[in-house]
Amino acid sequence: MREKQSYTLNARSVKSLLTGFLLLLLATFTGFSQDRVVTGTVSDATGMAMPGVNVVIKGTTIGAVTDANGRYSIKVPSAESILVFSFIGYQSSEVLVGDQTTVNVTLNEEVSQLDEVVVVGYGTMKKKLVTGATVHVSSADIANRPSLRVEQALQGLSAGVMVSAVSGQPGSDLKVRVRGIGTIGDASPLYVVDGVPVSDISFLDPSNIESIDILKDAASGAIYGVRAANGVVLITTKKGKSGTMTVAYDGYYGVQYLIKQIKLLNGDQYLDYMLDAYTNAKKTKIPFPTDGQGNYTQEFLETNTNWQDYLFREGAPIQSHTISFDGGNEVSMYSAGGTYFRQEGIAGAKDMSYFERISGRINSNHKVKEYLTFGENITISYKRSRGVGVGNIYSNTIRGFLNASPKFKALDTAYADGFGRSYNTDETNPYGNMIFNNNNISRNYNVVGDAYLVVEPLKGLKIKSDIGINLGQNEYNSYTPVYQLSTLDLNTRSTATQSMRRDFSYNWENTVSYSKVLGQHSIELMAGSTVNEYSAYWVGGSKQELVIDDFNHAIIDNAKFDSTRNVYGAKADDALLSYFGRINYNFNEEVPLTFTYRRDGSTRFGPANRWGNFFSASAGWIISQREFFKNSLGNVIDYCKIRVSWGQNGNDRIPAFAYLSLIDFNNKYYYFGDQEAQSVGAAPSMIENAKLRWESAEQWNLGADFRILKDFSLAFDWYDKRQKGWLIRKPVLLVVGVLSDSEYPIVNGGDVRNRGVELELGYTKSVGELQISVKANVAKNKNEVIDIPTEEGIIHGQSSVLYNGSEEFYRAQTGYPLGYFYGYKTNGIFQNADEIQSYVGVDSAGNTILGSNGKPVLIQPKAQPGDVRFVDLNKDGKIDEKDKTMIGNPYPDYTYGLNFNMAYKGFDFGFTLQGVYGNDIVYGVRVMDREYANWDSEMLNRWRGEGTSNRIPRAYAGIDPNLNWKRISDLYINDGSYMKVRNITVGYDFGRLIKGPIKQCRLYFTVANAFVFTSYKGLDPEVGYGATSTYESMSSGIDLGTYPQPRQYMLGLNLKF
Amino acid sequence: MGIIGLASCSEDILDKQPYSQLTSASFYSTPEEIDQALTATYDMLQRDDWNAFIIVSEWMSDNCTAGGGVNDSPGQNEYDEFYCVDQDLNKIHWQNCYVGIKRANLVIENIDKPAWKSNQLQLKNRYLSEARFLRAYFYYRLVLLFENVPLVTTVLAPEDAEKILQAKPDEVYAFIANDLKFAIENLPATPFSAMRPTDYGRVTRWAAEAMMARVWLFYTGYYKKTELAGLTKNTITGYIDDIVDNSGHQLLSNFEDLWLYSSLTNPAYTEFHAENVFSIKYTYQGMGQWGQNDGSRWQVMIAARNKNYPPYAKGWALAPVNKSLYDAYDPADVRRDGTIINWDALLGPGVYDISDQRNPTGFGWRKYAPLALNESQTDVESKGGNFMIDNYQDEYVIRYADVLLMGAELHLGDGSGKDLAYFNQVHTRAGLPAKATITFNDIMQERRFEFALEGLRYWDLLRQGLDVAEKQIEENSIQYPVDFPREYGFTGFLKIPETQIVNSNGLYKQNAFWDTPESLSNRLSQ
Repeated sequence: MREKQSYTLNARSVKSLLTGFLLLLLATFTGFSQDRVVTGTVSDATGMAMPGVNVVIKGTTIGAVTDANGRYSIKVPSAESILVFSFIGYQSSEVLVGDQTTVNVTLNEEVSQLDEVVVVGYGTMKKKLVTGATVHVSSADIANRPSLRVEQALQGLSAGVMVSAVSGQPGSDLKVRVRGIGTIGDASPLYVVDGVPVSDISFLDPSNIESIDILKDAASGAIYGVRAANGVVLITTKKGKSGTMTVAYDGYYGVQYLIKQIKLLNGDQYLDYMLDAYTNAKKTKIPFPTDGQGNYTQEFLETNTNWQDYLFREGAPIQSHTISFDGGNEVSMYSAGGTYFRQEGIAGAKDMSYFERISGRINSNHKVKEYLTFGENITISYKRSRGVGVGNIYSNTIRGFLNASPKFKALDTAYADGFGRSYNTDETNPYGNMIFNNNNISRNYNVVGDAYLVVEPLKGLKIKSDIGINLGQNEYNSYTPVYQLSTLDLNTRSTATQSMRRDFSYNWENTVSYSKVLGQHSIELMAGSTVNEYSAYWVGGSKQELVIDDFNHAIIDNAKFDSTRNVYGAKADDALLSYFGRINYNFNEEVPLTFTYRRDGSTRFGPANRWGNFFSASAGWIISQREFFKNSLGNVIDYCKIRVSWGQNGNDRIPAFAYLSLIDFNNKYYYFGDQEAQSVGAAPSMIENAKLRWESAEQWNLGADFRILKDFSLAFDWYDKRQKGWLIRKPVLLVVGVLSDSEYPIVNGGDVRNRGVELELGYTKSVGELQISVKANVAKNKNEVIDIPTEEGIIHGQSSVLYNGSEEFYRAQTGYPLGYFYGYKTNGIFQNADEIQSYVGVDSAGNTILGSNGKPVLIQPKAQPGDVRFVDLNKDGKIDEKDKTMIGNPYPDYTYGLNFNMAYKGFDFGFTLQGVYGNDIVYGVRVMDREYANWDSEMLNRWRGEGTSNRIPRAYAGIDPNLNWKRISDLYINDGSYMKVRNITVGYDFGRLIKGPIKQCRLYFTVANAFVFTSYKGLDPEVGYGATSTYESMSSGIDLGTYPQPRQYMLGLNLKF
Repeated sequence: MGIIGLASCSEDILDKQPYSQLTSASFYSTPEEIDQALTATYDMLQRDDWNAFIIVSEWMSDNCTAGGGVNDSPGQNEYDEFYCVDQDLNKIHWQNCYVGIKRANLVIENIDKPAWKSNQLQLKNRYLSEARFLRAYFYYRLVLLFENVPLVTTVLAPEDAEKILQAKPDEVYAFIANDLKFAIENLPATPFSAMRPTDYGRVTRWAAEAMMARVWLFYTGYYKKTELAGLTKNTITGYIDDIVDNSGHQLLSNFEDLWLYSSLTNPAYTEFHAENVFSIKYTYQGMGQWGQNDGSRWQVMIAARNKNYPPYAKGWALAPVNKSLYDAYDPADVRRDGTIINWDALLGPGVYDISDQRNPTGFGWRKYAPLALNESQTDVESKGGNFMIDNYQDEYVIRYADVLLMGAELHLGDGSGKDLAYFNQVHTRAGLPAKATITFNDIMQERRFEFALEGLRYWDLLRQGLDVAEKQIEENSIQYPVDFPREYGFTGFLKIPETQIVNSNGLYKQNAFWDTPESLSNRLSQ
C-alpha cells in the first residue's frame, strides 16, 4: 500500500497576503457605543441591498421598512429587544439588539427554494412542480468565490455532474459529463446560452451568470431532442431588475504555483539505474561520455538537471476585472458589463502558455405595451491564447521534460542556440524543443446574441419569436525556426503558418404557449419550431524560409521559398430543423404531469433517415399536500415530492455526409512522364453507410425531494440510462481497403447503459446574523456496455497510445465499462531461478501441462530472476493475448462534493470539497521505447536481488525478453481516487463600516486547489487526457504527462454602488 | 400557429450537398475519371512506409543487418533476426496493399461505366490492363510477405469482408497470373523507343511479361511446382524472349548510370532509359508536406548516419551492408563499388561516425543513397523538399538486367544458347570476362551481385528452398549473427498483423511460427 499524502499550502507565499488581510479584519473588532436608535442595512446573499424589508421589534407593533438602499433606522426600547427582519420568499431573521447600534442583516432565500422559478427548455417552471431531475445553480451559489470558467463554478456542486479539467493549461476546456459517458463519440452536454445553442462556453465570464440549470434526465432534456443525449446545460446571463440601479466592480488578482513535482530519478540514481540496466541487458557499449581513459567525464558525473525546474514557473499571475451596470424601471431593464481576464500558465516559459479574454455584454428587456415585450442578450468577446503541447505522445511538452535524462544541461553556452545537448544524439533537449516548437498564437472573436419579441394577445397566450446568432472568427499563426536539437528533432527551414476560420450559425425559434387555470386544474400548452443553420469557412496556408526570421514576422508573404507554398481551404454547411410541443398539467399543485414531443430533421443523415421522433413523459406527486401526510409526518417533513420520468433523446454529432460515398482528390498524386508532371488521382474518401440513423438515448428516472424540519433538504434520484445505436466509426478488416482510421464507416453501434443513484443533502440555518449553509452530494454511477455490433463484441482501442508501438490497452466490450483498461495481470516478481522453473502450466482441471519432451511446460521460459510473473489466466501454459483481461476501470465508483458557506456580521467563509473514489489511472508518462528515458522514483525500489522487491522488475536497457513493461499489465494501473479542497474563501464586507453610497465593499482571499489528497504519483490525479482518434474517443484516465492544476492564491474585491 | 408554419416552408434547408467532393454514384463516368481512379491506384505504390518492402526484404536477406541508432526501437532487428514483439509491425504492408487492390478493383468494376467511343476502346483496355497489373503486383507483395492472405476480388462492403477467409497460396498465385496474363494480352506491344515520354512510369506489356516470369519463378521454386495456372515454363520463356526480341529494352552500357549518384558526373543522367522496365516513381514535389506521400520514405533510412558526407546525404543508417557481401564481389566487378559505399575507404579510417550506431558494418548503400550538396544542405532540401520524406530516386521494380537473368535461368540447358548469351550481357557489363559455361548457381550468384540492395535477394534465396536460405543467411550474417529459425517452424514469411487476426474474430489464422514463444524475441540474445 502506498501511503496517503497531503499537500499543504505554500506558506511562504501565503504569508504576505494573509498578514495584511488579518490586520484589516482585526481593525473591525472595535467597541460600539450605546444608543436606543439602531440602524443598519439588509442585503441578500449576493450582497445586493434589499429595499422594502420589514423590520419589527418582536412582540410589538414598532416597525420600519428598508429604503431603496436597504437601510433602516428603528428606535429600540431595550437591550433585550429582538429585531425580526422579514421579506416574502426569504427566511426571516431574528437578532438580539444588546448594545449594538448597527445591525446589518443578510437574508437568505427560503431554504427549500420551492417557489423558486427554474429554467426548463423553452420556458420556466416552479421548482416544486418540476418532475424531472434537474439542478439549479443560482448566482448566489457561485458568487462568493472566483471561478476561472463557468464550468468550473459547477465543480462539486451537483450530484451526477462531473466536471473535470482536461489540462491545467489556461483556457483549456473542461470535461463535463452528466450521468456517466454513454457514447464513444462526443459526450459533452448541449449548452444553451439565453436560448442560443453553442458548442463552447469559454466566451462567457462566470460573473455574467444569473443561473445555470442542468437537465440530467432524459425527460427534462427531451424538449431538446436531438442534442440532449448527453444532458443539457441551460445558462441564463444576468438580467436587469426594475427599481435598483447598481454599478459594481468584481475583480481579483492572484498568483499560481505548482502543487508538487513528480519524483524522478536524480543524476546519480539515473546513472546507477542505467549501469544496472546495461549490465542486465549484457550491453557492453555504454554511450556515456568518457575522457579517453575509460572514465566518465567529470562534467557528466556532476550534471544533475531537474528538468521540472525549467518546466514550471513560480507565481504565474492570474487576474480578472469586471465592471457591470444593472438597472431599470417598469418599462426597460438592462444589465451590461465588461470583463478583462488573463491567466498565465504554470508550465512553459513566460508568455508561452496563457489565456486572455476581453468580453462585453448587454442584456435588456422592454415592455412596450401591456401585450408586447422585446429584448436582447448580446455577448461579444475577444480571446487570445498560446499554449504548450498537451496532446498525444507526439505533442506533449510536459512529457518531454519528465523523460529527459538528468545527465545533460538544459542551458549550455557551448552551443550556439544556448541549449544543452544530450550525450545521446537521439535525445532532444525538452526545454529547447519547447522554445522552438511552441510559437503559436490563437485569436478568437465571438458574438453570441439573440433578440426576441413576445406578444400576449390574450391573457395566458404567449407568442414568442427569438432569433439568435453565434459568430466566431478564429485566427491562428505559428512559426517554426531552423534548429537542430537531436537526430530527429530538427527543422531545416523556417516556416510560417497562418489560418483563418469563420463559423456562423443562426437559430430561429418560434413558440406559442397558453396557460389556463380551471379550478384545481392547471394546464400549460407549448408548441414551437426552430431552424438552426450552421456554416463554416476556412482557409490556411504555410510557406518556408522567412526573410525576417522571427515569430512576429511569421507571415506567409514574408517567406521566400515559393515552391513550398501550401494552401488549403474548406467550406461546410449544416442544418437542423425541429418541431416540438409540451403539455404541463397539474392538479391542485399536487400532481404535476409533463409530456413532450420533438421531431428533428438533421442534414447529417440521408433523406430516408433524416427525421427522428423523441417523446417523454413525467409525473410527480407532492405527497406533503395530502391531509394524511400533514397529520402524520407533517411536523417533521415539511415537503415531500416523488417523481418519475421517462424520455428519449438523440445525438447527431458525426461528420457531414457520412451517408454518401464521396470522391476525394487530395494526396492521391502520381508523377508520370519524363517531366514528372503531377497527375491527380481520385478515390473514395471513406466508406459510406447509407443506413445511418439517429442515435437515441432512453432514460428512466425515479426521484424524491424532501424538506425536513425546515432547515434540511434532501433529494434522491435513481436512473437507468441506455444509449442505443451510438454513432461510431466502426473499424473494419483492412482487406476492405482503408488507408486510415478516418475512412472507417460511421455506423449505429451498440448500447451503453449508465445506472446510478444520486443523493443531495442541504442544511441552511440562519440565527441572527449567523448564517450557515451546507450542501453535500454523492453520486454512484455504473457504466456498462450492453452490446457491440461486431462479431467479437469489441471495439478496439488504439495502439501506440503510451509510446510508439505500445499495444492496445483500452476497449469497449460487451459487459464491461466503456474504455476499460485491458491487459495482463501480474503476480509479483520471480525472485530466483527456481521460481521460474516451478512456474509451470497447469490447466483448468488442475493437471500439469506437459511439453513434447514430456516435461512440464514453463510458462515464462525467457524470464530471468527479477522479471515479472504474469498470470496465465486461460491456463494454457503460455502467456499471450488470450491472458489479457480487465485490469482497471477509468470511471470512479463514487463522486462527491461538499460546499460549506457561513456568514456572520459581514464576514464570510466558505470552502468546497470535491472528490472521486475508485477510478484507475494508467500511468503512461515514461517513453518505454527509449531506453535512456528517465524513470520515476519508484524505480529505486526495483528488484536488485532476491527479496528486494516483489513489484518493480529489474532494470533493463531496451526491451527485455520477458516483456516486463512491453506488456501492458496492472503495473501501469494506479488508484486515481482523490479529494481536492477546490476552494477556501474568507471575506469581509467593509461596506458595513463605510457610510455613503457604497452598498458592498467585500474584500476576500481565496485559495483554489488548496489541498489535494491522493496516493497518485503523477503530477495531478485529475487526468483529463484520453486518447482520441477520428473513430473513437472512449478512453479516459491516461496520464502521458498531465499539465497540472495550479494552486492559486487570490485576493479579490466586490464593490457595489 | 402561423409562425410555426413559416419554418416548415424551409425544409429544403436540410438538403445540403458537399462543396469539394463528388460522390461515387456519379463518378467513374468518363474516361478521364477512370484515369484519375487509376492514378490513385499508382499512388499506392508510393505509399511504402519507412520500413518499405524493399528494405524489409534486404533486412531479411543476407545482404544487410539491422543498423540504425543505439536507442532505436527494435523494429529493424525484428526483421533482420526474425522475431516480433510489436504485434502490428507489418500492418502498413497489409494495409497499403489492400488499399491498392481496392483502388484497382474500383477501376476494374467501373470500367464499363463511361460511354467509351469506338476510338477509345484501346484506351479502355489499357486502363483495365494497368489496373489488373497493379492489382497483381499488390497481391504479389502480399503473398510474398504473408503467404496466407484473403483474396479480395471485388470492391468489398465491410460486412462482406467478414466472410472472406485466407486463400490458399495456389489460388492467390493463380489470380495474380490471370491478371498479368490479361495485361500481357491486352497491352500494346509498343517498343520502348516508340513510347510517349509522358507515359514513362506506366505499366507496359513488357513489364507484365517480366512480372509474370518473376512470379512464376518464385511460385514454382518455393512450392516445387512445374506450372502456374496452366502456364508452363515454355510459355514463360516465350514472354521473356518476347521482351528481348521486341521491347527495345536494353542494358545501359555503364552500370553506374542506373543510379542517382551518377548524376554528379554524368549530365545526361536520366531515370527514363531503356533498362528501366518498370519502376515506382518518387518525387520531391511533395515539398515537405507529410500528408502527400509523394517522396520515398525509405531512402532516408539507409542514408548516412546523421551527417551529410558529401556527396552523400544524412539519414539514419539503417540496414548497413554486411561485410560478407562486399567481400564476395570480385574486386574487378564494377558493381561492388557501384552498389556499396565502403566508408573507411571513401573518407579515411574512422571519419564516418559510428559512435551512436547499432551494429555498424562500415558499409552503406550507394544504390539509392540520397545526395548532399555540401555539409549543411542536402540535394532534396535545395529543391524545396524535406530530407526525410521527399527523396526522389525512383525505385526499380524490374530492370532489363533482371529480364536477362530470368531468361538465362529459364533457358538454362535448353540448348538454345540464350542462357549464356543473356547471362554474359549482364556479366560483362560489370567489367568481368564472359563465361563459357554457366550453372544455376552461377545465375543465382550473378543475381546476388547485380541486384544487391534492390529487394530481390531474400526471395531468390527462399525460392531455392529453406535449406539454402538458412545456410546463406546464417553464414553471411556472421558479423552480427542471425538465427534463421527454421527449427521452430519458420517458413520464411512474416507475421500477419496481430490486430487483424484478433479483429477477424477467428476468421484468419496466424502463420504457425509466429504463435511460438521463439518468435517473441531475439533467440541469440539469450
